[in-house]
Amino acid sequence: MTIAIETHGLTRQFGDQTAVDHVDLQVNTGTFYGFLGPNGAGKSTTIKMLTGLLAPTSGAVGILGLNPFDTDQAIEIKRRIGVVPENLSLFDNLTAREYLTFVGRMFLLEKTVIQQRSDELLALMQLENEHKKLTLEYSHGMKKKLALAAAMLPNPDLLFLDEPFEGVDAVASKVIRNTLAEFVSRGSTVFLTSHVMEVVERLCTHVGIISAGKLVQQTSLEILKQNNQSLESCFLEIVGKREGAVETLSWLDHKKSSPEDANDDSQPGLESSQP
Amino acid sequence: MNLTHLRTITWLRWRIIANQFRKIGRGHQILSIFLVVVGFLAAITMGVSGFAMPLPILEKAPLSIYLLIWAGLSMVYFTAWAIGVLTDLQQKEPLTLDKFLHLPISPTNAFINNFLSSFLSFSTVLIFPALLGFAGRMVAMFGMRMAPIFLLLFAFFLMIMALTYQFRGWLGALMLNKRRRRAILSFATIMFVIVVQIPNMINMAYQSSTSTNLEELAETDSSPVLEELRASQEEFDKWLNQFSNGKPPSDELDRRLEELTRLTDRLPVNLTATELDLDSASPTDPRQQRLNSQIIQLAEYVRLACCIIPFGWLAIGIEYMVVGQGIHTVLIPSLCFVGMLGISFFSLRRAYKSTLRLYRGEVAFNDNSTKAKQTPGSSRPTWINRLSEKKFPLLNEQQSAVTGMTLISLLRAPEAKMVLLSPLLVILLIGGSFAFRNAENIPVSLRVFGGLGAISFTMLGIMNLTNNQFGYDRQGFRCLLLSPVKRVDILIGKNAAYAPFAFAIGAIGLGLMQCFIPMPIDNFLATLVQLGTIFLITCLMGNLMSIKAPLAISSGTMRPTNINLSVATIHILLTLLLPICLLPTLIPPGIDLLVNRFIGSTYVPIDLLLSLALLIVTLVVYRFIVARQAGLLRDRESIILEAVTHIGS
Ligand SMILES: Nc1ncnc2c1ncn2[C@@H]1O[C@H](COP(=O)(O)OP(=O)(O)OP(=O)(O)O)[C@@H](O)[C@H]1O
Ligand SMILES: [Mg+2]
Repeated sequence: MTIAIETHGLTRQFGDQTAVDHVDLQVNTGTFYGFLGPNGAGKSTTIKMLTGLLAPTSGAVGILGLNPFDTDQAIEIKRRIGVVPENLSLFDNLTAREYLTFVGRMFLLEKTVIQQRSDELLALMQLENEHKKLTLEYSHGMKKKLALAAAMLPNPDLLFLDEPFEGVDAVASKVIRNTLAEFVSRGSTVFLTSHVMEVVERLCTHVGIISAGKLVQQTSLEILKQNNQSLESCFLEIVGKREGAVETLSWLDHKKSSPEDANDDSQPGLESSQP
Repeated sequence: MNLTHLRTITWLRWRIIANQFRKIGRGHQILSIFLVVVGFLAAITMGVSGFAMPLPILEKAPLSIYLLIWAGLSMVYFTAWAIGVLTDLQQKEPLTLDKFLHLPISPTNAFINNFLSSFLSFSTVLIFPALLGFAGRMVAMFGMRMAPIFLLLFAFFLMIMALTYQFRGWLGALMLNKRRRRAILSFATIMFVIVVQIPNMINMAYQSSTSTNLEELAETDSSPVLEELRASQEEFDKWLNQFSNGKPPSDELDRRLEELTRLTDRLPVNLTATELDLDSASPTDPRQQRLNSQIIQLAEYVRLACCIIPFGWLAIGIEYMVVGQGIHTVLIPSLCFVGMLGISFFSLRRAYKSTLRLYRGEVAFNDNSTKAKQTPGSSRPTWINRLSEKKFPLLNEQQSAVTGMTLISLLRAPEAKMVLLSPLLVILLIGGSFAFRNAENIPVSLRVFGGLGAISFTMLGIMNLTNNQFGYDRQGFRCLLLSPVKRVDILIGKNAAYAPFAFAIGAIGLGLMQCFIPMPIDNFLATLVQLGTIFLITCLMGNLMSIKAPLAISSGTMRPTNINLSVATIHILLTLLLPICLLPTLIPPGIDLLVNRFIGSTYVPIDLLLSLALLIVTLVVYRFIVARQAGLLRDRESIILEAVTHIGS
C-alpha cells in the first residue's frame, strides 16, 4: 500500500503563535481521511501547507511521494491533486462554465472532455441553470459547489477538501457524499476537514484530530467501532475536556420570571420596524 | 433621540479606528500620527492664513474680486469634498447602516449618527478653516455689517453635507447590486475626472481670449460700453508704447487712466474699484488697470454661473453684502441663505425618508430582484464566453487559457475598462488642447518623437493593470497556483491578455496624433512597430511590480486595501524607471534623424527597419527575462497570495 500524504514535524508559526506544531501525518492511498479539530486548531493551515499554498516554518511534506516545495515536483503533484481551499479559488468575473473551462485547460484536458465533464459536474451540483451569473454573484453554497466541481474536474488521484459541506444544502450534500465515496472506492484518496461528526463518521475510513496545532489522535474508524466508541464522544473526550469550562449560561432560566426583560426591545421607533 | 445609542455608535467607530491603528505596522503608525498632526496644524494654518494672508491684490482690485475669491473657495471646497465622497465610496461597503439595523436602534438615531459621522473628512478639516478664516477677515475689513457671512457659510456647509449625503445614499441604494455597483463607481470616477478638468479648460479658453487684450471678449459681448472700453484701452496702449523707455508725463497718464476707470465703472457690473484705490497707487499702474478690467470681465461669467448653480450662492450672497446698494445688501444675501437652507432641508428630508424605508425593510439590502431574468435553456454562448475556449496564435494551450481568462475578467470588470480608458481621456483633454494649438510649430522631422511619447503615455494606463496583474484575480490567484502550469506560462499568458488593449489604445492615440500633427508615413509605420517594443518593456516592468509589490484590490474598485510604504515606494520607483527603460525606442528615429540631417535623404525607411530590428531584439530579451521573472514568481507566490487575498479594513 502506497502512502498518499506524509508529513514529518510539520510546523507553521504566525508571529509568536504556533498554528501547526510538529504534525506527523500519514495517509495511505485509497483512504477517506477526516481531519477534525475545533475552530482555530490549524486544519486549514495544514491543508494550505500540504497543497503548497503556504510554506511550512519547518518540517517535511510528501504528497504522492513527491515534495510540493520542489519546483519540478510541485507541478507533477498539482497535476494529480484537486483542492477546495478554505477561501475557495474562484475568479470574480467568470461564469461557472468559463471557470471550469479554464481549469480544464490548465490541466491540459481535451476540449470535448472538458465540455462533457463540465456538463455532468454542473448538473450534479445543480448549477446548470446559472450560466449567466458571474461567480461574484453566487451564494456561498453555490461558490462551494463550483469550487468542488473544479477540484473534481481533472479526475485527480488525491482530493483536499476544506469544509466542503459547509453551506451546501442537504440534497447537494448527499449527492456529493455519494460521489466522493465512489471516488474513494476506485482507489483515489480524499483528505477532508469538517465539523459535522455524522458526515465524517459515515464517510471516512480514517480520522486525525488536531487540537491547538498538535495532532492528538490518528486512527481508523474501524478501531473506534471495535472499542464501541462513537466519533463524537471520542472527539469531545479529547478536545472538550477543558478545566473549568463554562457550559451553561447562568441567566438563561430567569427569562420567564421577569417579563420586563422580554419586552426590553420596546424602544421608541421599533414599532415601525414591522412593515 | 437616544443619547446612549449615539454614544455607543460613536464609541464603536472609535474602536474600529483604534483597532485598525493597532494592526498596522509601527512605521505606518508613526506616519499616521504624523499625518494627523500635520492635518491639525494645517487646519490651523489654513484658518489663520485665510484670515491674515497678505493678498496685495485685494487692495487694488475692484470689489468683484470677492465674488471670484468666494466662488473659487466654494469650488475648491466642493472639489475636495467630492473627492472624499468618491474615495469613500470606493473604499467602504456602501451603507454601513445595515450593520446595525438589526439592533434595537431608532431610525432617527441611525440617521443622525450616520449624517454626523459623514462630516469628518479631509476637506472639512483642511479647507473649511480657510473659508472660516477668510470670512473673519472680511468682517475685520468691512465691519460688523459683514457678520451674517457666518450664517451664509453655515448654510453653505449644511447644503453641501446634505446634498452629498443624499447623493451617497442614492448611489448606495443603486449599488446594492454588485455588478451595477461597479459600473456606477467607474462611471462616477470618469465623470469626476472630466468635471475636474472643466475649470482647467475654462481657464485655457479664458487665457487664450484675454491674451489678446479684451479684443475677443468684446467680439463675444455686444455691450457698447465694452466696445468703448476696448477702443480706449487700445488707444491707451498705443500711447503708452511711445514711452517704452522713459516715464510718461504723469498728468496726461492720470487723465487717461481716469477716463479708463470711468469707463470701467460704467460696465453693467456696476462695480467700482475700491474707494481706497481711486485716489492712491493703483490707477497709476497700467498693468494693474488691465488686470482689473479682466477681473470685472471674468466676474461677469462667474456671477452668471453662480446664480444658476446653488453652490455659487454663497459667493453671490457675500458679493452683495459687500457691494450691493440699499435693500439689495440685505435681500439678496437673505435669499441665498434661505435657498441654501431650503435645499439642505429638502435633501435631508429625502435622505431621512430613504433611511426609514431601509429601516422598515421596504428596500432590502441584498436586493436581487432587479437582476436580469434568468432564462434557463437559452445558453447560447456569447463571444466573451467563447474566449475561455479560444486558442490564441503564438501561445500554447495553458498560456491561452490564462489569456482567455484574463481577457474575460478585463472585459467584464468595469474598473479595468476605466483604467484603460483614462490615459486616452487625459490625452484628449490636456494633451489635445495643448498639442493642437501648437501643431504647426512642431518640425515634421521631430513629430515622430511626439508619436512615441503619445504611445508611451497610453502605456501608463495599461501599466495600471500590468503592474498588479494578480491583484485583480483575488481568490482566483490561488487557482493559478494550484494549477499544474509552469510559472512562465502564467506570466506570458497574462501579458498576452493586455496586448489587444495596448495595441488598440496605442493605435487610437497614434491615429489621433497623425490626424492633427501628421508625420511621414514610414515614420508612422515605424512608430506602430515601436508600439510592440514599448508594450513588451511595459509588460516586463509590470511583471516585476506584480511580483515584488502585489496589492489587493477590493472588488469593484481600484483602491488597494493593503498599501504600505515599501509597496508604494516600489511602485513609484518602477513607474519612474519605465521612461528610462523606454529610451532605446528613441534610437531608430534618432538615427533616422541624424542620417537625414547629415547625409541627406536616403529613400530607405531607416526608422522602420531599425524599429523592426529593435522589436525582434526586445522579443528575445523578453523571453529571457520573463523566464527569470517566473523563478521570482515561484519564490514569492505564497507571499503574493497572502497579499492579493488580503481583505482590507
Ligand atoms: N495568516 C494568518 N496570520 C496569523 N494567524 C493565522 C493566519 N492563518 C491562521 N492563523 C491562526 O492559526 C490558527 C489556525 O488557523 P486555521 O485556519 O488553520 O484553523 P482551522 O482549524 O482551519 O479553524 P476552522 O475550523 O475555524 O476553520 C488560528 O489561531 C489562526 O488565528
Ligand atoms: Mg479552517
